[in-house]
Amino acid sequence: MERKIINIFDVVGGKAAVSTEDGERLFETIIAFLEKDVKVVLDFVNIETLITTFLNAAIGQLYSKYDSPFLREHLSVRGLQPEDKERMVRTIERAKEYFKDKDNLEKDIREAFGDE
Amino acid sequence: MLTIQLPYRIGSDQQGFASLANVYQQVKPCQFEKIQLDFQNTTWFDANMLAMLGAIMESAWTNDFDIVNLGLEQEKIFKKTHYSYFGGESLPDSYQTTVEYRKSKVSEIGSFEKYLEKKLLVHPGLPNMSALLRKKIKESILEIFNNAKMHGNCEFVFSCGQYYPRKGRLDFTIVDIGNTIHKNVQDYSGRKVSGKRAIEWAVSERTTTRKGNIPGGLGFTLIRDFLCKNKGKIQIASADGYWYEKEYTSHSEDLSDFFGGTAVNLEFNVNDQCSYCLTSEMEDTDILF
Repeated sequence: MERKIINIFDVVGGKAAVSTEDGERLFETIIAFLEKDVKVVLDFVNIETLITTFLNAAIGQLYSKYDSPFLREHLSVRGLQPEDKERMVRTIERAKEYFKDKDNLEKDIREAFGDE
Repeated sequence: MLTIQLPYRIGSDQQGFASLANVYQQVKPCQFEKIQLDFQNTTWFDANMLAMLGAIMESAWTNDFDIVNLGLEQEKIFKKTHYSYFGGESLPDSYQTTVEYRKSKVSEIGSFEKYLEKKLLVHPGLPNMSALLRKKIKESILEIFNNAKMHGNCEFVFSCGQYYPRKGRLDFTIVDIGNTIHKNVQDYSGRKVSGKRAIEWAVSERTTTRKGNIPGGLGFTLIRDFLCKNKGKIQIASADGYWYEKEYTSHSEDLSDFFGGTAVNLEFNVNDQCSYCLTSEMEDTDILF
């Protein structure tokens, strides 16, 4: 299988990966390669600021199209700062929950607010 | 002409938010009027709360505002922050305790990020903070900025900060005049909920009012985790609700006056020596999709 390395610094044009728009752009780039059955490596080297807004749009959104086994086989990351790895893991966990919970939306709201 | 008396103290607390919400309530129905904001009784105004005052004045932009009877010390602080009412007139901040007031377009997060780097994180008055603490502060503020953009459906975000050297605290306030948390939660849930209950729900783990394909519901969780460890504080005032959390204890109350936007105050403990390193080092290959 072919492999494509995407440099995040290059995608966002700097050290800060903070905007939804940049995240969306990365998302579109990733899916373009995944659709061609290319393995994607996301290289976060030199990214110093990384927030969930960017990660939700770029990574979390992938779970709307692909399942976990597919992404495990086709996607990997490298170069993340140690403190950002936890953020990435939590983004992934949250995305999985989000798309699972979308089906249980009404039940969750009922549980949260009752008859309020 | 409408004259609004400001109270004797505007601090970064529920009373401060409520007092400014009261100003919002009074100016909201006005159009093309002269409005005097009378500071005669005001002896204290936390500089960071200028973010909320600025947002309120901007929301009623058709009116002609006049700030009167502002004490000399107050005026100095306002000018040190470059508060826009004075048309860019500013004073040097010799004690270096204020963080510049700024009105930012929500579409310009890159420029806001640079403002944080230049005006806040390298603030000469701040003590030496670890790189990781600075990074966590910056990321927390950027998450709130983006929240305003995503959920507030607004055009501008207003921000200002004050550093308290003796307390070792940095207060930074971010305000938008847009959809309130109350409106977003009610629209999303289809339930009638109170303003304070709406905030409680919005800041809890795994909740979001987004409905599209971009997940949400993590930003506030990470900020709360960090601020609890940092021994800082987060306060939110939106619609008729007020909520805060400090050291793992949260509390919500009704706000006495309705505020048609969202104000978030983040208080950081800048003397924090916590390293924030993870207990176990994670490899890139440990990240499983």
